[in-house]
Amino acid sequence: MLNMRLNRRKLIRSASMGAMVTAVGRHWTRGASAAAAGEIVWGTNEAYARPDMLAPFTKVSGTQVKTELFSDPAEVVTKLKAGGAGVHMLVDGCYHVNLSYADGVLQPIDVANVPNAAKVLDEFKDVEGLSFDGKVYGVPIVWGTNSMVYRAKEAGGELTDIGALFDKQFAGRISMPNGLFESLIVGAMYLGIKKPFVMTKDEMNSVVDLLIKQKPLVRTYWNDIGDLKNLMATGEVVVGWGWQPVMELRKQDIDIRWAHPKQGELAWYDANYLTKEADGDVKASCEAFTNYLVGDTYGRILGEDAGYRTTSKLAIAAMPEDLQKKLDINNPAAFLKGATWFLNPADPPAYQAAWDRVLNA
Amino acid sequence: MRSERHVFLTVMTAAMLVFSLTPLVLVSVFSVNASRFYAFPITGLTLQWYSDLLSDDRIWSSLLSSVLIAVGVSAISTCMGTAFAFVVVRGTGRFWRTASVLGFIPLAVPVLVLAAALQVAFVEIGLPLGYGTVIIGHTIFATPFVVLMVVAQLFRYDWRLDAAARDLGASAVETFRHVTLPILMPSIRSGAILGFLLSFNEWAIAFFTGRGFNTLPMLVYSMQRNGLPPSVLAYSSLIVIFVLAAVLLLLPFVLRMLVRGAAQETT
Amino acid sequence: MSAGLVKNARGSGWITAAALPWLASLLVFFALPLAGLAALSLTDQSGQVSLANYASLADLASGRLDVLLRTLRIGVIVIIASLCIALPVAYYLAKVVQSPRIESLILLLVSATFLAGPLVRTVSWRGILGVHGLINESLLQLGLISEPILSLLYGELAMTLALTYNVFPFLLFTTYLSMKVIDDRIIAAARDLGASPAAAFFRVVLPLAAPGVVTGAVLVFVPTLSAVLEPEILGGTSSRLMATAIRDQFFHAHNWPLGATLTVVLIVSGTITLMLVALVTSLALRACSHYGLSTGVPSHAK
Repeated sequence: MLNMRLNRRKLIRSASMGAMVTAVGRHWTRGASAAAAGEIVWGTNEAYARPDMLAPFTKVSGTQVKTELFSDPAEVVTKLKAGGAGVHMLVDGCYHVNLSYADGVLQPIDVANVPNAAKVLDEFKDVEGLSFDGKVYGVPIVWGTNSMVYRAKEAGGELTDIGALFDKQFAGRISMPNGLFESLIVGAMYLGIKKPFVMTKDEMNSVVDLLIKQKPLVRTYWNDIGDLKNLMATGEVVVGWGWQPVMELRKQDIDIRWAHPKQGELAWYDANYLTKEADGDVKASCEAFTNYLVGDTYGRILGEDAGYRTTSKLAIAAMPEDLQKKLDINNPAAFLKGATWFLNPADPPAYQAAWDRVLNA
Repeated sequence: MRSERHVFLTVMTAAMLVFSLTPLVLVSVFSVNASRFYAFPITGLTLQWYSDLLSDDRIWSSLLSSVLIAVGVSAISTCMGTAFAFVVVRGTGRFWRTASVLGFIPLAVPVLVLAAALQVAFVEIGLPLGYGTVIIGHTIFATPFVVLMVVAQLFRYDWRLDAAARDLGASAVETFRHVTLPILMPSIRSGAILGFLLSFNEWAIAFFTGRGFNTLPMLVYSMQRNGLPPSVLAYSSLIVIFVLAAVLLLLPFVLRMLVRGAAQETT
Repeated sequence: MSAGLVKNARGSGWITAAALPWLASLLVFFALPLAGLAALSLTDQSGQVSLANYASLADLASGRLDVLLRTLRIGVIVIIASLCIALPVAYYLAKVVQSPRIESLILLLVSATFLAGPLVRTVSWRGILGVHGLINESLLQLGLISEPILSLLYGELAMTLALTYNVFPFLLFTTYLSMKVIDDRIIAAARDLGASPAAAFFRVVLPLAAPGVVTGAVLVFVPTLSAVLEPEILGGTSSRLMATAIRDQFFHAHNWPLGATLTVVLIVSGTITLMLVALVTSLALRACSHYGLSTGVPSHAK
C-alpha cells in the first residue's frame, strides 16, 4: 500500500503537466489556501450550525466559523483521510468516532483551554470514544437515545417490545435504519445477543437471517432522520426504529409515541473533535470554539432552534423552564436508564458484509 | 406535413410535458402548504416558507458559489468539449480512434469515486482545494457530456461546406468562424447549458474537492438529514419560475435568438 | 503520447491541438488517480497484493453479482423508457410543430425543471406515488380504489421512473438536434414516393438521426451507474444499485480495496454494456433503413 502510494506519487510528480498546473493552480486558488487565524472550518451537519447558533461566538472572538456541511461524518472523515481537506474540527459520535481515530485524522484537545468541559453532564464522564490512550479527544455537545417510535392510532395501543418491528401485523408499514449498521444492532437486541457490537459469526448469521426474513414486512430502509420523519408524518409507516427529531411531529398534532422497549434503547452523543489539520492559532481558536459549544449560549439556542439536547449544565441552567421540560433534559440519569451506548462495531467490514447480504438479498 | 396522424405525436408531447412538470407543480403547491410535510392533504395556505427562504442567507451564499462554479465549468467544458468533438468525428487512424474512446471514460466512473479520486490527485499534485479544484473536477465530470452533445450533430455535418468556403478563398480560421461554428451553434449552446446544469446540481465532487464553502447541493443534502425544510421547496419553485419568467418576459431577445438559431438550422 | 503515431494520423496538426486540452486534463486529473484505484483493488486491507477482492465477487451469497446485474438491467430499461418518450417528442418538435416559439418554449420548460436540483426532483415523486400522494388520493377520491396502492412507492418501479425522469431530457435534446438538421425535402420525397408517415419516420428520419439517438442513449445510461439518490429515496428494500454499494465500502466499511474493486468491475461492465447498447441501437436503426425505400440521399455520414 505504502509502496504503491509512493510509486503513484512519483508517477504524478513526473507527469510533465503536473508542474505547470501546480504553478498556475497555486496562483489562482491562493485565496482559499492558507487558513487565516481569523477563520476556522467546522465539519458539521446543518442543524448544529445555523447562523444564529454561530453568531455569538464570532461576535465575542472575532473568529469566523466556516462550515463544511455533511449528512454523515464518514463523508468528512473520508475527505480528511485523502489529505489536504482543510477541515479543522468535526462533529462525530460514539457510533463512529473509533473509526475516525483509527484513520488517524484526529488530534487531542488541550482541556485546559476548554474550561467549560468540566460543566458537561456527569453521565458523559467515562463514556467510550471521548478519549484515547489517556488523552482527551472529544467534548460531547449533543445527546439522545435511539428507540422504537410509532403512530399510536394505527398501532392500536402502547408498544413496549421491539418484536413489533418483526410483527406481521404491521407488514408493509415498518421502517428500519439503513446507516451505521443500526438494523443489525436492533436485530441483535431483539434476539437478546449480549454484545451487539462484537457479534460472533454465528450470532451475526442469526441476525442476518432474521433481517432477511423481516424484509417483506419493511416498507423501506430510511437513510436519514428526515426520511423517517416524513414516513411517519405521512402515515407511510406505522412503526420504525428512529431517534429524537421524529418526536417533533407531535407539534403537528400527530400522535407519535416514543417506546421504552424492554430490550433497551441505544444512547448516543455527538462530540466536537479537532483534526490534525488544526495547528497554532487555528488550534487555539478551535479550542475556544469547543468551549463555546458547551458554554451557556450555544446549547440553549440549539434546543430552541433544532430541538436537540445539550450536554452543558451551563446551557441547561440558562434555559427557560418550559424549554427544559420540552427537551426532557432535567433528569438525564433517568432518561439513560436501560440504554446501552451506541458504539461502532469493532470490525466494520464484517458488519458491512453482513448488512450487504441483507440489502442484496 | 401536418396531418391528423400527428395526433399521436401531439398527445405524446403533451404527456411528456405533464410528466416533466407535474412533480414541480406539486413542489410549488406544497411550498405554500401550511403543513411542513411533503404529502396531502393541503392543510392551509402560507407564505411562511418563502419568508424563511428570503431570510436564510446560507441559501443565497451557496447559490452564489454554485452559480460561479457552474459558469466556469460551462465555459471551460464547452470549449474543450467542442474541440474534442472534432477529434472524435474527424480523427482518423487507430491512434485518434482509441483516443476518442478514452476521452469518454470518465462517463463510466461513478461520480462518488471520481470525487474521491480527484481529491487524492489534487492533494498529491499539490493543488490547494478551493473553487479552482471544484471547477477542474466538474469539468472532468461534465466535458464528456458536452462532447457527446456536439458529436451528435457533428456526425451529420456536411464537410463539403468547409471545402466550398476554402475554395472561395476563406482561411481555415475564417471557415471555422463563419461556416462551421454557426451551423454547430445549437448543439454547442445545448452543451453549454448541459455543462452548467450538471455542475450546478453536482454534490460529490463539490464536497470532496471544495474547501471552506458550501454549494447549494451540499447545503440541501445536509438539510435533508433533518427533514427537507419547506423553504427548499420554496426555493425550487422560485428558481424555476424565476428563470422561466426571466427568459420569457424580461429577455424576449433570447427567444428571438433561439428562433433565429432554429431557422438557421433548417435552411 | 507517441510522436510517431501522431505523425501518422492524417491532418494531425489541428486535431492534436483540438485533442490536447481534454486528453491532457484527463491524464493529469483522471488517469493517474484511476490507475491508483485499480492498483488499490489488487490489494487486501493490510496492503498485500491479492486477488481476494475479485474472487469475493464470485460468492453468490453476498448478492454483489445480483446488484451489478440489477444496475445494468435498470440502466437498459431507463434507455428504453427514455426512447419511448424522446423519439416521438423530438420528432414532433423538430419536424412537425410549425411554431418555433412553441418549440423553444417546450425545450425551455424541460430544461428549466433541472434547476430544482436532483434531490427535489427525486423527492417530489414521493408526493405523487406515496400513500397520501397525488395518484392514490385522486383514485380514492374518484372511488376507483378503496385502499391506497402501497406498491407504487418504494420499489424498482418508483426508482426506475425517477431515474428516467431525471435523465430522459438528455436523449430528447440529442435526438431533437439531430432530427432538426435533416432536410425536410428528404421526408417530403419519401412521402411522395408513397411512404406512410410511420414508414417515413422509421425508414428515413430514424436512420438519419442515429448519431443523436445513440449518443443520447449513452447519456441516459451513464447516470444509472452513479445513481445514489433514486434507489435510496424511492427504491425500498430490494432495489440497491452499485453506486450505493461502493459508497458503503468507502464510507462505512472502511474497506477501500473492496470499494475500488467494485468500482473497477462497474467501470468495465458498464463500458461493455454501453458499447453493446450503442452497437445494438445503431444496428437496429440502420436495419430500419434497409427496408424497401431507397431515398437516393447522398450520405453525409462517413
